[in-house]
Amino acid sequence: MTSTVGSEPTLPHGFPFRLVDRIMDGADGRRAVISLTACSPLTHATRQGLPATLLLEAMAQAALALMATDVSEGDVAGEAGQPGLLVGIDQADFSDALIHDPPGPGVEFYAGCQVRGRFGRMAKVGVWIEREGLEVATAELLLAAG
Amino acid sequence: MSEAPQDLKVRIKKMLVERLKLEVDPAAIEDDAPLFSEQGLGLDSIDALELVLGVEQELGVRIDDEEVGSKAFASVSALAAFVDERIQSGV
Repeated sequence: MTSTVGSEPTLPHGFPFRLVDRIMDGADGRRAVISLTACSPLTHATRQGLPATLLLEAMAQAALALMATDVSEGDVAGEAGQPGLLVGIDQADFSDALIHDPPGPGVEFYAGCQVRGRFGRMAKVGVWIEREGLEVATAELLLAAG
Repeated sequence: MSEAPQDLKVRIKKMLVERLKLEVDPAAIEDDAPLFSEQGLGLDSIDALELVLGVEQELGVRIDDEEVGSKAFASVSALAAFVDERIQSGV
């Protein structure tokens, strides 16, 4: 990421379940930063391999936080601090290395999203996670305003 | 030129079954059966979003808001009439 300016994500989650640290704008677009810190549940989980469920939760949080920064997506992302709900997962794919040989503390992932379609309070969103410029996880998530 | 009404209904029924993974024969779906009622197909709000995407991607017609969608999704006949009208008007 080229930008060093980060903003606090708009999410109702608190420690330890807030998995997105900040939102950043870079050359490739807006991204949600997911840090593996010593205290992060993602880091603790890596001792037995990184569970896909936590990654999907991080991807859902990233998508909602990113959508909340876009006025046009506001009604699906919810008002600031209001919960969005993960209601569906499709085509989830993770790199083997990410699951079986996960990185330790200090690593940052960058999550991006693209709204595929929306209707009422529901949105279908393509979400991906990058590490060092490589895509390591992708999924299509169905999200609803809480 | 627009598609014959019956052909359009057949396409819509096939799309419903394939995109929503319904365990029903497309031919068994009645033209006027309510889509979002237990008396009909019993679809829910998750299905509605998938249906919006299907109509846009496979039939080339956008459904912009819930009000329009709730009328268009009343039944296969209603959806076919909505799609035909949009295609005719070039929207």
